[in-house]
Amino acid sequence: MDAPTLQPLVAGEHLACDETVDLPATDGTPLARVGAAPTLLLHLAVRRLRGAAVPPEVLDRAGALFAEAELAGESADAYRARTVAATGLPERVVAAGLHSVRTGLARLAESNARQLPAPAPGVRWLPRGRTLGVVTPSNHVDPHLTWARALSLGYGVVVRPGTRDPFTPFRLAAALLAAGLPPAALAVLPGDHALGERLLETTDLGIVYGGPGAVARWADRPRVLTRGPGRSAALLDRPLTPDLLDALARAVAADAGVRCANTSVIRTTGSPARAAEALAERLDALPAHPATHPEAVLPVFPATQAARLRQTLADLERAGLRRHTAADGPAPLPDGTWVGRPVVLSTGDPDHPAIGTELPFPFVVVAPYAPAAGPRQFGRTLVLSLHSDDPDLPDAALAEPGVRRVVVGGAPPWTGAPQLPHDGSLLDFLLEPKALLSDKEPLT
Amino acid sequence: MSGRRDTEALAHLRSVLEWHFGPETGSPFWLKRLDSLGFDPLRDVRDFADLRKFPDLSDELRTVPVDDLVPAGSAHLPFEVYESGGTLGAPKRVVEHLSRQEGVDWVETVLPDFDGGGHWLHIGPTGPHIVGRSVRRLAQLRGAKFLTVDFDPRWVKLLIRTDRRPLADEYVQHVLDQVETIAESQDVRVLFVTPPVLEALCARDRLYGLLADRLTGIIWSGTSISGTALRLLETEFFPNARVRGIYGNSLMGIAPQRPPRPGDTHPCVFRTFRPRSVVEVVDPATGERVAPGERGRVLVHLLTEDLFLPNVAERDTAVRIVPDDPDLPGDDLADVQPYRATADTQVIEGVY
Repeated sequence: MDAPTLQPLVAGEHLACDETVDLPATDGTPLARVGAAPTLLLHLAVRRLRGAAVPPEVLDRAGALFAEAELAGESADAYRARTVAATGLPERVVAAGLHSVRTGLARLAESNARQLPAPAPGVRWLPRGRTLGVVTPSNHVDPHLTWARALSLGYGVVVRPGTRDPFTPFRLAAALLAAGLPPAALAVLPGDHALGERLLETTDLGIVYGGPGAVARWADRPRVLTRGPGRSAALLDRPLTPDLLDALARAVAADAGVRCANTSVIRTTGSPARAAEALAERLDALPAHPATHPEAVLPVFPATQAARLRQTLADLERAGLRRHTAADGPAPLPDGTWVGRPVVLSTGDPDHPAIGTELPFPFVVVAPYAPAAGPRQFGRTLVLSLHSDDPDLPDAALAEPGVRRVVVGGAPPWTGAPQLPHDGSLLDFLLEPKALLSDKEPLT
Repeated sequence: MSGRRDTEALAHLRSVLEWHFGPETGSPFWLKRLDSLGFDPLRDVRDFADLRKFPDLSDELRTVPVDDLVPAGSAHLPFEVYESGGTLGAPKRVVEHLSRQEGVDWVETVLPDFDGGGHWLHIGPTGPHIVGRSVRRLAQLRGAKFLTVDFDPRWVKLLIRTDRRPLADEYVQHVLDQVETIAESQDVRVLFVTPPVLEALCARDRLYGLLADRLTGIIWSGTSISGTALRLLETEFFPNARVRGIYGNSLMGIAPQRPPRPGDTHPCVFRTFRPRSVVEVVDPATGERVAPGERGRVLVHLLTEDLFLPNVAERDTAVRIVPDDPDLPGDDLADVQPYRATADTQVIEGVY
């Protein structure tokens, strides 16, 4: 595979930066060279940015091109291979992401309409700003739909790609432009961390994905939406049946455990150690393959990152957590990458500070649930899956401001449908209602 | 080395040594240290390479009484005191009568004419920082009025060092508010500015609009800037302006960007006022001069009648460029970057 050079995209043109950063694959081989946009290029891009409402046909066409076409000399196969090599995501996860972005683009207009209140006389929903900056993640393809949605609403969008996955935003940008997106509506600016910070300060609105540290600075800024760790959880208040264990194992490990909606906390009314033991037995059975293997279901990491993850896990065990899985962290593969085999830990302490730790592979901490304390004990939780027969629990869980979605039964926590909000409604962030009083439009 | 300029340079070195180590003319600073040097500067320093025999005493400039620095032979003359930026610890103090001004007069001959006309606006440090006076001199040599906005680099560095970046950004906006007030009514054609402040200026629509077509010259200094950003400044943001860099500090004086020429491997090549300010690009481990085109640490020898300060390791690294008059000692510099001795050393480059 030849190593491409990805250069910043401004108003439909790539601008060659002298300063580039080498992007290695997880096995250390050179994969791409990525231009590093200076702050001035950000200012130039914002100056040239002109959003325009994008017709549904353009989005639909872009989805098809994104999933299938050769774009800027890159076939869909080459894109998948590069993304797998750079991110360590299993091939099938990237392929599924490609498909889900395609479907998502085709249904964006419908999804926008269904997430807003029913049309009312005199009420219009309009963008809260002209420009949006997005610092995208490298953990999955799906989040890139977020900025495509903003484009569809008429925003001018500047994307700063995640360090490990510049391929997805550049490919999606190429697909959108080829499908007819006005070039001035979009810029893609790879660059360092500081560039991302500048971006979020510069545009009217911002969205930032990242770990606790990356999003902390923006947590209290109403003009920046943070998409941090999901801390998704499950409540276990039923006997452990094979079906229930299947659902839990899937919630922890599906999509390689990298989604923010993957379960990383389980609280149980029974014995945490026993539940952890049973779950560990399931998860230990997952095969450990290189990411490129067609049967791969676990993520792989470069050696340096694997060493850090192993250290984190060792610290957790030293902090009193008990390990139930065979793996004590990412393990080496013959190709030089390290595979993130599942890790299940348990604690008898309902307040253990390690509860809520998120790691980029199937990882879960099982802890006690205190019924008297109710669902509030889950704290900030993107998805709370309830395995309980208590009829009052779903409403009580939804009433918790920190709980963003409640799943009753075994449905996957990330189940999507056009009308469903993810973590609050993105449309509420991007749009606001305004009144238009006109003698041509009666209010009643 | 050979030739007349070489002879002149050696004669300059000789006279500086005789001045600063002469019992009647030398400074208390050097005369007090003469015995502890372990060599006789007048006997053992025959060439510029011999300057390496001196210890790097620049750290002592943080505490030495300024009276000690003034050569006895100049004691009757008015001296000014300036300080370094204070990037690494307490600032260093230098004394100055006229030698820097002569350097500035030379700098003026290196810079382009910026199309003449209009006034200069200095968005940079003044007060203890010599750059304020130097740029004032440049503007005056060009017949321009010199407008200024106060800029306190130490405050900004403190904010960044203590992780208060938003407050630093607010300070930059405060500075730019004042720039905007000036730009509204004054015929500003040439800016002196640091790259981060210039970037912030470009992000302010109204201020940028006031200056975009008007500026004929931009002198940047104080922090590094990428080649891509320089190109954007010249081609996209200020197409009517000549953009030139100045490298330097309170110790070595200012080194302007020499005119670009065909075959240059770097967009900016900086040149010192040789032989009064001689820099060498050296391997920080061995002290050996690196090969042309290689990066090394910047080593400065200041050789003026006002101040003698040899063998000072600067806080920067640079690429060694061979000057086009190699008869004179020292290197030209390109791609100056902050020097990090170890990963633990935090250099606050700040916005100046």
